[in-house]
Amino acid sequence: MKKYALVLGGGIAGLSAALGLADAGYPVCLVTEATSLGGKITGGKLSDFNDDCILEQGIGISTLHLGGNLHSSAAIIGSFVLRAVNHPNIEIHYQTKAIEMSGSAGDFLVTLAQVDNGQPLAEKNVGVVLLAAGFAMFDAAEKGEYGYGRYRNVITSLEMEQILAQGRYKGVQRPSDGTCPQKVAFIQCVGSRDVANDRKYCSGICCMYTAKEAIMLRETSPDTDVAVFYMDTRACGKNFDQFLNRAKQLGTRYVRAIPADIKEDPINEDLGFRYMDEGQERQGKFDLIVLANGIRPALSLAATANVLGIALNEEGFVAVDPFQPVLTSRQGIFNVSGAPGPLEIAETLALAEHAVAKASLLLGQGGEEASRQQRRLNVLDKEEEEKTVRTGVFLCRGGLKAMGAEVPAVADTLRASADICFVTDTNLLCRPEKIAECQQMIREQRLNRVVVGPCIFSVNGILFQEAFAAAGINRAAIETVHPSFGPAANENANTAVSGMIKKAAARVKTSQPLHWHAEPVVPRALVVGGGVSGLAAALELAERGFPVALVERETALGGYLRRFPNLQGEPRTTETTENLIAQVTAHEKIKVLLQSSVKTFRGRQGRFVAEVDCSAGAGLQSIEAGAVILATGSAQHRPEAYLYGCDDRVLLADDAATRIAAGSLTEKRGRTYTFIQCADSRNLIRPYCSRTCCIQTVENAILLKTQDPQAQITIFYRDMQTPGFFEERYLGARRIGIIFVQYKEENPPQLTKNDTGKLKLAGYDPASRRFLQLEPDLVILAGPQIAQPDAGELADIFHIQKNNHGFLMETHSNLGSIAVPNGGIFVAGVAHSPQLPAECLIQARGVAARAAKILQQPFLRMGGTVAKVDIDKCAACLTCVRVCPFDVPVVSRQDKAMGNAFIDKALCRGCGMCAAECPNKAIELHQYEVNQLYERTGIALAEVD
Amino acid sequence: MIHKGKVVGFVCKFCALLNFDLGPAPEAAIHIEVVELPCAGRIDSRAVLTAFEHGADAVFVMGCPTHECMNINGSRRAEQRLLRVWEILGSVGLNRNRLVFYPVSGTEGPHLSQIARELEERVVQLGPNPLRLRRQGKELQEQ
Repeated sequence: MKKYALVLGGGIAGLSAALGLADAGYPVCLVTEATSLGGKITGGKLSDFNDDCILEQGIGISTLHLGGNLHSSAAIIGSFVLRAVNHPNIEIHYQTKAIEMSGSAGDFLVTLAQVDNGQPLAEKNVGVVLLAAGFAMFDAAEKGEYGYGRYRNVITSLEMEQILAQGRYKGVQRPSDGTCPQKVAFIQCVGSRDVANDRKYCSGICCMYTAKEAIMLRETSPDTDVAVFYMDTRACGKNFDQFLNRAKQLGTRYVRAIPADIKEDPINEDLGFRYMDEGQERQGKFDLIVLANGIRPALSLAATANVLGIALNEEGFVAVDPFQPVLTSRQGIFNVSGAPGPLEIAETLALAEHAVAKASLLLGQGGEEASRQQRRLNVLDKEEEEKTVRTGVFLCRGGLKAMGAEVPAVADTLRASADICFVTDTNLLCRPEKIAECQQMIREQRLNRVVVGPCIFSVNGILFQEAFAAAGINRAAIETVHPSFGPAANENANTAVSGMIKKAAARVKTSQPLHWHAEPVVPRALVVGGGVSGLAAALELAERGFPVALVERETALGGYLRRFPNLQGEPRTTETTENLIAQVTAHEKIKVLLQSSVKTFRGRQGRFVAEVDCSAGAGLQSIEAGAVILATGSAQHRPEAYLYGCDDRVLLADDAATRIAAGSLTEKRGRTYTFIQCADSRNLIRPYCSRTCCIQTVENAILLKTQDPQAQITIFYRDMQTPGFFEERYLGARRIGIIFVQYKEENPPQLTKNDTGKLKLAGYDPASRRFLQLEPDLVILAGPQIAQPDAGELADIFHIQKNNHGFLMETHSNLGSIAVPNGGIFVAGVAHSPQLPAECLIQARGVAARAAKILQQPFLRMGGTVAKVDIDKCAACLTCVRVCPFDVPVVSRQDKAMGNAFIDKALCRGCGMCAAECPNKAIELHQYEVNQLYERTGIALAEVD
Repeated sequence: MIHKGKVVGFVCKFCALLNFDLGPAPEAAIHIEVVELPCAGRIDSRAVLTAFEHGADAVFVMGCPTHECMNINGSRRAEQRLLRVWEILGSVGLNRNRLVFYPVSGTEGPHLSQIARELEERVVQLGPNPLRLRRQGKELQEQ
């Protein structure tokens, strides 16, 4: 019997895991209880969407919020779903669940059954199980006082997503009467941080998804007033603060108040509630209210866990060790869900990558199916044999419908065009059977140019390109019509769409073939930074059998955690760090270079060359690596506020943590401790949250109070950033008598020293509306985590970007901390953004798994859209050498006495700047040659007839 | 004759990932065509002028925000090059406002609807491209 990797769950985590395993060559059985793939992202039904498009149930969530940026979910999740459906190694079972399992890791026997009647469907021999159960939403009706289920205009956030998704086509419409709402209120923390409903944890994602919905609402309907009612704004991830600010800049009002109940006007179904704002009672009137309801464990998780024999935690999520979140209580069963607290999407994907890596180790060598890259290389890009251009058009009815066009009209217009010799239409064009049909037609009709579409999913372009290249067409001659802007409102859709397709046909007619070649991969990894992230990444790769060079500029490994071992009072942090250092030092495949740093860096994915300065004697060493992981960490900032540096009684949180762990601070009993959060942080200079400080402060305050119950502890905060299960720690801190005082950025507490040397702290408490006067014995400041001061130089050496605050940047797609579009360079740990140690580990291991994917290929396909120098025209003026951001062109006298520039097509990243700057137009970028650009401009503006 | 606004955009391939799914508000009444570039830095001045010669009422260039350019310097170079094109437009008698540079993160999807509306306003305000009318006039004559 074939042995499968079983993936339970078809949402983004399950899809990512399934694709990861399938790409590695393992046969995957993907089981979902739903009727389609995509999970929460495709939860909604667009009522007048069409069945001719593969996502026939529509895309409920119109955009994803990923790492502080908005992305079209169609592009992301659409690509996952389509790749899964088209993947030869993935077998998908819909409306199916696992009802029985026996055996042990590496050899399980699983019985699959139908969801509705429990009828057994199949028995599968399974090597590993990956559980991607996802989550369910809190039932807002349980908060009866908000009227959900009774008042039509009180809706949940998911329902708002659907309204917004349709909003672009029909305008935003409220449920009761279809009018556009003029005043919308979002209420946060519905079913989260809720002791009464026994949901004490914070759901983590609601502050951000509300900001996303607010942004979309303001962009789509600028006249609508939007207000968000909240307790704390938890925007503690990378770029999250900026994202929230965007919502505010667009005019969203944030009010720190949660209403007790909602009342409805029965005649017009408008809503209202009372709330307290700065001690003043106010009346809010709205015509639409959105409840940001929280998450809870997936409904079927308990049953599934029972079948699988794994443990769940108190809250009903999968029980895991936060430092090893993919491991469940049973060997061979891996967790890919928000188990250590609800996870953001980027973290989920990193977790999925890591789970795939661990599962692969258990499954052993990959199957007979070649990996995707291998398959791509097997495809020949044919040279032009015929002079006659034969262009075929494959129309997708789904795409046409989405753009409001009619198939017969468009098809007829196209057939009449002289440029096009063959037109066919079908629905669900991206399905594997349809693609096979198209490939057959290409052969039968002897086509050498193809136009496909229209398709609203940009990523299908890649799918179609590969599929038709496999049928023998050069990639440059395949164009997917994918309009960034649809037909104008005053245009006839048929004419407009026919026009787009005819223009695409005109473009492919004059395309020049592109060429690729295979370049070998150096199966070694370079890890820069020997802190906990670098160590974890290096170890993961070494365990997979890849040699690793680990470059660390200090005299010892361990990074920040070596100097500050126990920041959050979590002893396992120290344990983990020490273990990692021991394992890395002992591992034969890891070469540790201490007191070393990278001086120069060149190359491309598969073969980078770094010059490393090993000050510890060995001089300048050249290291080749196929993939690079940057885990260069962060630095401590010394705040310029609150008398820091002027008085010994004012400490930095990280310094205090060490002393608290040692118990030295509470030697004197009954002292007054004051913590001040956001000290010199989340301000104009550093407008971002450092994520770890509130958690650290809560843990340390609890430690202090436990050591000395007589201690008087007050914490001044702006927003308590204790997401996920940390919320329960915050609640616990309040319960043991730690006082929390909220302050606004404009009105921080004032710390002074009087003549007798006593510290005086004055702060305004909005809850009691009183000015507090404290005389602290110790003041502990939670300052920001900042980027390394030389992050800029590092970014220059590696030719990557850093964001405004110095943290290393990943590409827009943000799916795996990849630093450059052409791949090969990854960022992990706090060099990426402030994170907790456990989070750094998730990211580092995820990144290592991605790096391993590159390293395990014997060769990669290079070339395609690269620049080429016309030697005769080149005057060796060195402009291109100076302009290239990646230091690729070199000038030599090899071909011409006076010298000329040479661009290695393996190294070229295809940006075209050399071509744009060359004074003699001696450089051309394939596919984007200057004449092609002029021609395309002309085509774009040609009148459509 | 009803004026149908025509706009051409030179869009870097990262920005071009923004797709119809996040498309414009239905009220945008101009026809927008896109020419894809590998990087905004590849923008060719003559291509922009060609667009105007062919009758575009407005032309825009879209690239990553300057400090976030995936090719480090692309957007910066693009803007520099466009300075020269603006000069040329001015000296030739075309309103400079017909050409605009949008730094757009490949993730600001909903913003595209705002941009479409803005372009429409621009086109309505500036009126049709005088070169286009002349070209059309010429064609009429040739008939």
